Amino acid sequence: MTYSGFTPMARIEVVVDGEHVPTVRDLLLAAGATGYTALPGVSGFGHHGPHEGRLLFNDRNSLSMIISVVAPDRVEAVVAGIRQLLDEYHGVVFVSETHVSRPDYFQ
Amino acid sequence: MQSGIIVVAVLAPLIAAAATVGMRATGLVAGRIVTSACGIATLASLGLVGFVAVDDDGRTGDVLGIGVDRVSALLLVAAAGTGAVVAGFSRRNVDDEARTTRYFALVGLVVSASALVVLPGGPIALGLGWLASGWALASLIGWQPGWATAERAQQRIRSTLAIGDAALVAALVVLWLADATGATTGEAAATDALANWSILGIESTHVVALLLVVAGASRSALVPFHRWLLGTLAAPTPVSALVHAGLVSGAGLLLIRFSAPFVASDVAVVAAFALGTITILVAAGASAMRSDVKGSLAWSTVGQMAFMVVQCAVGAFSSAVFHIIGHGMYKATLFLESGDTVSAGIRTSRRPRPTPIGPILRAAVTLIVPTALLAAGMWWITPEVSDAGTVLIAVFAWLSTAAALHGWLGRSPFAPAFAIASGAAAAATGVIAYLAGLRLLERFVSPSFVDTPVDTVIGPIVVGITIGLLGATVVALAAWPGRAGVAVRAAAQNRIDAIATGGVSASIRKQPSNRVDVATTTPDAARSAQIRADVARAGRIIAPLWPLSSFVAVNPVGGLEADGFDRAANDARRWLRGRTHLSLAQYRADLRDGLINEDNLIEAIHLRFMELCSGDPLLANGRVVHPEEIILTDLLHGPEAPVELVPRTALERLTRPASDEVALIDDVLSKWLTSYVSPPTWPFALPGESFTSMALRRARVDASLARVLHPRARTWLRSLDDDPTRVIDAAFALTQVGDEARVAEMRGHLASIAGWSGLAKWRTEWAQPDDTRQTVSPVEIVAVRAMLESGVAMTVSADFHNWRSGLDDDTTTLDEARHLAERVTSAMEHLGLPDVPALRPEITRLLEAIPDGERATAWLAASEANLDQRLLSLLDRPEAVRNVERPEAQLVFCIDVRSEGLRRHLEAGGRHETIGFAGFFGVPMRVRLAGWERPEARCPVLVAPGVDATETPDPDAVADLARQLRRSATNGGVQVAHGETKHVIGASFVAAETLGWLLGPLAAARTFLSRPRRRSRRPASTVLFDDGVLVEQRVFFAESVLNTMGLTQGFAPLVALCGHTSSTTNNAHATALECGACAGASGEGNARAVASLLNSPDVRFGLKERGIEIPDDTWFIAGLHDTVSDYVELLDTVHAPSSHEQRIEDLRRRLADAAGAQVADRALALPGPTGTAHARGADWAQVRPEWGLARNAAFIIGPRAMTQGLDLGGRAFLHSYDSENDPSGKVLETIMTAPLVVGHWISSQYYFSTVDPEVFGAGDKLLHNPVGTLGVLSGDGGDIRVGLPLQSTHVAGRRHHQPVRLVAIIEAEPARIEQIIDANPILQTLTSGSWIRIAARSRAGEPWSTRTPHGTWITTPEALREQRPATKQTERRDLAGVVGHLNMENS
Repeated sequence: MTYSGFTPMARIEVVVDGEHVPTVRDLLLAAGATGYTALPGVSGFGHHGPHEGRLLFNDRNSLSMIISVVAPDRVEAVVAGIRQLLDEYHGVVFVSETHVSRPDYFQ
Repeated sequence: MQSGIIVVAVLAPLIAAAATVGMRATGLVAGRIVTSACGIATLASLGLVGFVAVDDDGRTGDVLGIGVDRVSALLLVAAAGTGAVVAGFSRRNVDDEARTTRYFALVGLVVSASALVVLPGGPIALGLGWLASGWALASLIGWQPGWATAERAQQRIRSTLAIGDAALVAALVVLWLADATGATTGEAAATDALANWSILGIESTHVVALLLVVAGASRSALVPFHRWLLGTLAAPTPVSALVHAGLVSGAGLLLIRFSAPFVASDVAVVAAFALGTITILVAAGASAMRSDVKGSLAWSTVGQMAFMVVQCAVGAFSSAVFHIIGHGMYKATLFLESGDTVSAGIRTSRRPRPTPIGPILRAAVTLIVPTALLAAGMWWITPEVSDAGTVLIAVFAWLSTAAALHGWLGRSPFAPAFAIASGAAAAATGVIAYLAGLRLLERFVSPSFVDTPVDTVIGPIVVGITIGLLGATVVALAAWPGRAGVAVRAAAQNRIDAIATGGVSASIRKQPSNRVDVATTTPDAARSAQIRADVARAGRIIAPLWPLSSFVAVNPVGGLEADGFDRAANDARRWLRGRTHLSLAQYRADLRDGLINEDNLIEAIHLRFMELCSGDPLLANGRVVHPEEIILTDLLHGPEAPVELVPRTALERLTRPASDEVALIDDVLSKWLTSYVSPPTWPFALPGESFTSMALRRARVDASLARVLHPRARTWLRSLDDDPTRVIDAAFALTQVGDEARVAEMRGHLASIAGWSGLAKWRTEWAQPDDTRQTVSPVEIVAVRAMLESGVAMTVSADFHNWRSGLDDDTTTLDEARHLAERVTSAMEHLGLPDVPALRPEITRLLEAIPDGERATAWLAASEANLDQRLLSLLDRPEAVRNVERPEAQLVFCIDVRSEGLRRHLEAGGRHETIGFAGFFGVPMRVRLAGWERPEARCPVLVAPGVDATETPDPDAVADLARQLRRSATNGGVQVAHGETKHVIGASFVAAETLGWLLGPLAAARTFLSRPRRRSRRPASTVLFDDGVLVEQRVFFAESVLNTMGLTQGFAPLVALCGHTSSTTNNAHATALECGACAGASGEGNARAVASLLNSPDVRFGLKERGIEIPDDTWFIAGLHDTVSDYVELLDTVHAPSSHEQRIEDLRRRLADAAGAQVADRALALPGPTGTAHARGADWAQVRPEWGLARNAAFIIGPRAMTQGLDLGGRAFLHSYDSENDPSGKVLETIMTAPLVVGHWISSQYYFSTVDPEVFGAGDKLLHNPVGTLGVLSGDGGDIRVGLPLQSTHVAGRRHHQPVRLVAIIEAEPARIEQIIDANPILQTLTSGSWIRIAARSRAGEPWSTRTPHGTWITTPEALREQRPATKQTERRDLAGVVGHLNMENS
């Protein structure tokens, strides 16, 4: 589906433990992403059982989701590092196509 | 009579030293004796000063040809006085029982020997004194055995001093040959005698003078003998003070004593002048490149000593005397208070920068005022020295004054006019004091220099030209523009760095390398990302290290938590090379001491080795031997595990673990990291340069590396670009580290420099985003270290391209097999089994299944079981009757173990209730107190601060506050002025020698007359959340705080929220004693903000709507518990309604009583006199102001009724919790996922710092060398230290903290606890990984159940329920352990 006036970009979503957010952030920024959004305290259910949501006094030991948008040619670089990380730690990464109206903002 | 006094002055310390050794006195007694002896010697010396003052010739006394003249009388006072202060300081600072006596004896010897050197006596006295003082000093450096760095330093010191000793002895021999020994007592005839004698055609005057210059240069660490002084950093701080105060001025002492023959020899004078001048330059540069406090102080001393020699070379001997004494006192004080650097840095960072005076005005005043002052001063008080000496005085006094004024004008809080006026006034005072002091001294000592010519061959013109040239060079260097300038400065820096660091370890040999072309790969972006990710994975081995400005206790192996305790411990031993358990011998000693029962051990064996124990028993000669017997015997008697170092990185595989090559790399890397992360005045890095860039640049020119790197290696280094991932790729390609071995190799690199890696990890993963300091990331550390290793590897091995790849070989070595065999033999011996062929393989198979790590963990489990049993049986009692009456006051304390005792004493009266809650009081906030530049986070590091709270003064207190802030800002200005004199080349000489006369007596007062400081009266103010925080959010906070606290009804009329802090002085690890829930800071802000919140009518209204009704007569008040004195200050009492005045007064009195009782209890466990325990915080020499959280063991979650009245020995975190008020379990989940986790971090920090103080702890405080506010090094360099210092966990070589893992004791349904664990992976990790144990009971009266790591609950057997403690006494010993023997002496 194409939208007129919008540029196709790649959207990367990562769900990891709160304590790995800084590492994912570093990987994103070092690989060329210009920014990211972090949603702390998400809850869910997966291979390792249920995950509680937000804890009152602990941001590090609950799940976080990180969203970033990068140019399609950067995706491989960005995701390569995250995949390496997920070899060791629990988490998931999704890549999907999205469209933005200000492409220069993300490059 | 004078002779008698001379004897006392010289010999008293020596006699004391001999006495302590002969009597085999304990350390405490030795300290007292030697300090008193030095005090007596000081008094005697003062008496001698009086005698020589009244004598016209300025001489008095005669003991075996040794008399006293005016110069030596003054120097004697200085020497003895410094000895007294250092010895007095050491009494509360040095406490290693076994060797303390030796320490004090050596101090006494140094003082007496220095006295001999100083007095004009015959050559024998001089030689004896000189040699003895040098020997004693070197012995003091190596006073603590077992540290390779100290031993190396001691070697270097001995060999460098030996050169000087030989020169002095040679000079004395020549004097004797020339029949001129009278020179040692300043006889005029001796100089003539020398002139008439010649050796090998050279006039002996020159020979003697030159030999004396050499001897002096060696003793005073002039170039090229400068490196030994840096080695003294491997000695305790008081020893450094002693060295820099007196011993190091040997050159001056010699040249002053032999002033006549020295001046007579032009050659010697010129040589001395040249040496001195060069050294001043080198020292100034080297000092500017050091970020560590002690390093820059030591280099500064080198420069100061050179200045002293220059003073002698121009004939200004009286100035030299002034300098020796003044600088000595100055440097000693600065060394002794080096621990204050971190706190001072924190205070400085909080102060806002005042608007500085315009630069032109500032420059004008800086140039004009000192010139005017000095011109006027010197016209009025003309110095009576040679013209050259006068030039020195003028120039350097001007430099000091100008620098100080410049600094003051840049930072004074006053309006320009007043700033200039006050600066000028202070400068005038300083100048007058200096010139007057100089003149007084000149007049006083002139009889001693009657036979010395006033002028030397170095005239005022020479001095002027020299200073002019040097000044011009320095200015040109600093101001040279453009790239040429950068290059020139870098070259100068390299040269000075090369001279400063000197040679490299001789055992690194270079091998010629084959011509092999190394293919350079350029990794694409994906590969770079993978490398980054791998560094993060490898980084699991490293725990984040918080800077000392906010120490946070962490689990040193926290990154490996998910692997479980045993595997994590294995990895820690292999990679971090640290002990993870006590030794078997230590556990066995605990068994003997009653801390472990054999039953515990047997139970541990059954639990841990269930499968092995269920195997078939062995038959031997008709005797049945069960597997558990064999295992038990192995645990009780088997040999210790051998320590084997496994190679961590490529270079270690190539050379060997901990080889000299690796040590060199780590030294260089540490030096660069220190300079980059905490930039000194003259940093290595160019502005804006990354660490990798800087490292690549320096690797090509660094002096220590230059001697080791092959040209081939240097070519390779030049080919690298500064992207760290590309450097890693290239370095690993060179050393054959394949992709699958990459993570392991990176782990090795990070583990080799765990301290800096930890700081880097903190900075990239935990630091607040607004932290703007220069930073290094773990990726860069791996890159630089790998690059260095590859470069060195290319040099030392021709076949580097033929190495094995970096996969881990964990093959059983010969040593392991031998160790196993020894275990088997030992087991068979102790069981009395015959060595029958059939038996041995069986037992070997059994014991092989129990690796050494598991043996140790079995012991650990046994000691924990013992502790759990005693604790649970203590808690296993019927529910205490809950008081129905409304308490007079409720006090909410932090869960910190230090509140337990105070709470117990408070409740003893029966009218007060206490509650345990996290010390940040439930609102993660940033706090900005009045006068702070920016807000600081005050919440556990696990959560990010959400709101801001600011302190605002009351309207009628604004002026008061402004005054206090101005006072503080003035202090800041003075400090900057002082700092500027240290940074500007040439400005430190006169400043040091003048300030010293003031600082010396102050240091003596601080040492002998310290008194607890009364807290300054705070101006009335409030701490409120910022306006942007809406009412709804405030109500939400209030509700969550009260709910989590369990305080939703039954409010007392007065509710005190008590945060805590620890007021100590001269303590680099001060923040380690502060509130952990507030990230290593005081809980004051939080207590006040939350109290204000709960008093707010809007909030109370909102709370009522939500079902929490706070009575109108309830008032919340904030308190601050100082854990050093147990004094609880009630804050903001002026805002309390008048109805509560009496209650507040009553509470104050009650708190004072409780504090007194608590301090008395604590004093029993602290070394030293018990009466002054509350004042330990104010004592600058006190190395152990309080025990902090040592001996923490348990985290108790439940109602206070569960623990009320029980003496838990300060070993439990107490969090109030009532499961009946928590139907959903949310409160329990909050407690278990935050405060309990923090408790686990604290427990782990203490555990690992105790079992290995050198790897997981920060080692001995006495060796600590602060770097900015970041951390400490030990001695001259090396990795930044992690963890707690030795004195926080040990005393006099004995463990005070019991290393056990945390046990959580919870009064709640086990099913509920199980639910919470299931829903939270962090709790699963901690429980199933055996990091914490959990015991629970549903309610009081029920038996306790313990949770196994797999999730089953085992009820404690009935038998244990019968163990009820008989009396209060037994209660205390049961849990608190054996407390009595720790109190070494009540005096």
